[in-house]
Amino acid sequence: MMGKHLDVQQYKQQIVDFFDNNLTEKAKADLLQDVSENSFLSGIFENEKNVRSFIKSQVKRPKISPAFLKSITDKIKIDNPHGIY
Amino acid sequence: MVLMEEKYNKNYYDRIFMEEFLPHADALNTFAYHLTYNETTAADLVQETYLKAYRFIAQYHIGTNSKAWLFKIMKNGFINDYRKKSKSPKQVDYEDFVNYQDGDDTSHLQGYMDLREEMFQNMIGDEVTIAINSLPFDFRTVILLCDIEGFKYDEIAKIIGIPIGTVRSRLHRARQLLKEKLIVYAKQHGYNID
Repeated sequence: MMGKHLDVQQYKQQIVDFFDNNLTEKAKADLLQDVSENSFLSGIFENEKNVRSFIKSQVKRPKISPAFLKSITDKIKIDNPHGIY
Repeated sequence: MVLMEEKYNKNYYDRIFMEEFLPHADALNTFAYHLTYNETTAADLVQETYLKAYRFIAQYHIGTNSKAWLFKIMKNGFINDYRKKSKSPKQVDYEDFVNYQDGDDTSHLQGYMDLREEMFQNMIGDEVTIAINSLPFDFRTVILLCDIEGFKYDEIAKIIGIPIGTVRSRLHRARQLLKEKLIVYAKQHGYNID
């Protein structure tokens, strides 16, 4: 028995949609309920969550310095001293 | 009437710029970096995106999705400007390569080996970035927008200018490709992405 309504592939797709924020609130709640009641589904859910945080945490994110942001705002002020409208 | 006057006041636009646009600078820079593969070029792209955003700020509706709006400007700017430039021949220093190949002096070989070792060490921990950057542009873009920046399908569809169904199928394919590239590395770190 794999949850109440769906087969494994459908659940996998639901889990992907859950983390893509592509489910309705009702569908989210139903999925979480099914996940909480089924250790196999729970494993798939946790794995998907972990993989996504792994990728997010590992990806390079070069930081922007406050000086660089100031240079942008300064350039806008110089280009548009009295506004552009 | 007061609202109209305020709307066309420069301070009004400056406030939108400072409060709604600038907080997305780091996210824009991450996107730009993965589009251009280069921190300096990425910074230029971020600056141009902000300058364009200010120029067209009257078209932005306050309180709507400023992040998606900025990302769309950046994506279009990249395709229209930077991508064209990047298709020009690469600036490889061919003379250096020939001199190295033809030279009898091997004293510089150790330096080359050191450099290669340094490059390899710098790669460790950057596998995810390398894997994402090796994806074709269309796949890379959806991965960055969805998995890294957390945009929803409809937002991605608007940013890229494709149907939602295409976003979904492109994401599926992009994740498959990324998985193939990262499967060994992920397993080494205790993640199963089969």
